[in-house]
Amino acid sequence: MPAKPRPLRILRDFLCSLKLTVATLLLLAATSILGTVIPQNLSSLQYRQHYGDKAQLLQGLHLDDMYHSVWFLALSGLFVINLVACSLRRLPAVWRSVSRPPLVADGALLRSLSHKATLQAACSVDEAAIRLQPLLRRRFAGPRRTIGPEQEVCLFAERRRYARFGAYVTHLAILFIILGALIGSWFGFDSFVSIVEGDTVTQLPASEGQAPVELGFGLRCDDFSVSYYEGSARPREYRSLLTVIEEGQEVAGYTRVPVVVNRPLQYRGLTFYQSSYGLAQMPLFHLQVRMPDGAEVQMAGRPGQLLPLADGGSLQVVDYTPAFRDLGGAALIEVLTADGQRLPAIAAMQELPVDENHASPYRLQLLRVDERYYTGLQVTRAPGVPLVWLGCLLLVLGSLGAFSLAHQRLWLTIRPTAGGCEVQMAGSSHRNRPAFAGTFDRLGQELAAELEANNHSAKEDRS
Amino acid sequence: MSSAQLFNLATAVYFVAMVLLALVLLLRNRRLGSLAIVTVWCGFVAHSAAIGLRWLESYRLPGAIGHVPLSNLYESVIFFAWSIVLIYLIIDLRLRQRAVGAFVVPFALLAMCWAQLRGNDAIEPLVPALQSNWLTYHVVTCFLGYAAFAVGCAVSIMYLVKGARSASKPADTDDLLPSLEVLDALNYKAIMIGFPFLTLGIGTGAAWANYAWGTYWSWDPKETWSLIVWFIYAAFLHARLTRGWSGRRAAWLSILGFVATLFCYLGVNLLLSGLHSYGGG
Ligand code: HEM
Repeated sequence: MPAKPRPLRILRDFLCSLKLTVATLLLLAATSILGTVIPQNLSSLQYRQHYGDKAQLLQGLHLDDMYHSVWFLALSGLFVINLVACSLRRLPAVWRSVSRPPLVADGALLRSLSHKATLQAACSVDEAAIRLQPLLRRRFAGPRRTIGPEQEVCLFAERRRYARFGAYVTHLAILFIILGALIGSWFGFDSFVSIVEGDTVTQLPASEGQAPVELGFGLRCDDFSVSYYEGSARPREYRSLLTVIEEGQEVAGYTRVPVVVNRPLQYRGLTFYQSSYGLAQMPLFHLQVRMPDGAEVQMAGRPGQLLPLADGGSLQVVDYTPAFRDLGGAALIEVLTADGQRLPAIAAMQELPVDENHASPYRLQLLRVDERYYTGLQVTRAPGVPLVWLGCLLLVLGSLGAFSLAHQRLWLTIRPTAGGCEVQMAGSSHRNRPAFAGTFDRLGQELAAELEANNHSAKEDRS
Repeated sequence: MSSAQLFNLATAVYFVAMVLLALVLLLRNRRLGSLAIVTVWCGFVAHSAAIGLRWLESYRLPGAIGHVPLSNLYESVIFFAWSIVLIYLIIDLRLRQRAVGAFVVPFALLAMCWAQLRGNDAIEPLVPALQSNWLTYHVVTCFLGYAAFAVGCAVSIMYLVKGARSASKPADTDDLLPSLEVLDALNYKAIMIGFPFLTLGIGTGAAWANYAWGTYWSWDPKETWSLIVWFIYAAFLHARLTRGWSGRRAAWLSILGFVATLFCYLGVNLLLSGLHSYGGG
């Protein structure tokens, strides 16, 4: 390889260094804090209100949208370059050591290995090799047999080679996630549409300075409803029934699809999420009124509308709650009696247990409320998402693999001795050495048993 | 017996276990260690039964509001304590380092006491956004990660205590604390358990956000803090691959990581939400 000029080498060493990794990771962590303390994406006015003179500095440093600021993206970019450079630089060596392992344990290699033992056997070198191979094949992967420089027989066996790549799978996963996010921001979009019950929309409203987006199909909201937990005003479910319409026809399988929070509707690459709701117009209240003389009348009105009564009094709906104690919906009514008294009264769906309206000359009951809602749907196209999920999966598998799988290797060198042969065992594990020590000892015993050898030739001390 | 009483019982048993574990260290009595660990197991069984019972209780309430007890701060603190004990017991089964408990069990005890004293233990129905299986996956994975980091932090404190002690009087070797090398390795091991769980926790959280709100990442304070924690532990893992970053520095980094974890878990809700409440969100 031609020697690189010095400045390039320094740059490369800088970009490949693990110190840079630790520094960027800690810097990313430290700077990210800012965006959690400073509220993001408010208006200039709001920043002025909260930070006074410092608002300008804050906006100058882009701290009002810091995760999209140039300097934060640059820091992330440095992190990615570091990741790629470092992985690419190390990968070839790892690949070489995995694909072309040293088959013969020479002196230098032996010195570097921490697990060693020697066995004596009474059989010949060849016979020992033949006996040991099946055992090694069972416990490790098939051993490779070579002849060393001094005509000794060398057996090399290993397992879980792929464990060496756990870290690189993890790193690749991070690139997948970042790529997925980029694809999403380039080709995806995020919008919002509201549909009144019964209406159909065919386009998404325009975002600033852009034309509305044609859906290419129609989306109808058949119904929207909120349900509540029994006896409380806590919402249980927001539910829209949506129907997809293509060329005037309802699409089979996409009619009256219930869409609730956590269960969006997907159609033609778009996803519709239940996001908000509201009243499209003032609800219409249907009331039953029993007059003081016992006559019953039914009437209907919207809030604020004055409902005249036969005796000269009038009613007006002021407020409404869908869950009044455990009596279902109830409306707060302002009663204006014939003699000019103003009284509050409640009209509930069910008979009030104690008459809460004893002050009112009229007995009120709420028959039903006609509400016309609109449903608010978040609409997204997110083409990068599958890549992000793949990245997450690989990130977890890769890091689990990197931490818990160990590449284990074993070298046996068999030499002739006066009484037969001597088997020198050496092993290494690229992580979790204490656990490997046990494996190694057990394997030594099994090999000895296989050779019917006496294992008393003291094991060499593990350094 | 109600789940609340069982939680009290578990807390009391953990307290006894902590006292026993402290005695193990003070009296240097190994046999007491077995008694202590049996006590921790008893507390753990009561704790698990209480969580199960609370789950059942939620289904017995009117209005079909039953759900896995992982939906509010009280329930999550209790699960956090449970995870810490679980991770400790697993490590104890494999490595038999009794003395570690004297530093780990107080974390679980503290969490339990906090839940009992400050938590709101009413079982409440789930708002629509929380009605998702992803909630369970998300909380379980996050808290197993947090718990492993708590164990890492406890071991790191032990490391620093032991390091300081053996520097001042080197003769004092038989204090039943594991050796510095073992503590350092334990710290690493705890973080190796915690890191994939945290990764899964962030991933399941993103998946859930994607189903519920149509965006898997929105840089809200909770998400961002989980990423901060993740960055710190990633830095920890890589620092170990460079020269000179095991031992004391690794211990400090692990403690820093756990402080950030706690902030992510509690601080964001208790401190930052106030700051953001005016943001019109
Ligand atoms: C947040 C981002 C990152 C994550 C989650 C990550 C994850 C991992 C994991 C899980 C390991 C295995 C650790 C171990 O064996 O103890 C690892 C190893 C490694 N990482 Fe990263 N990493 C990240 C960023 C980086 C970056 C930016 C670099 C750039 C230099 C880098 C360089 C390395 C190296 C050189 C190894 C050792 C590989 C080997 O053992 O062959 N990592 N990484």
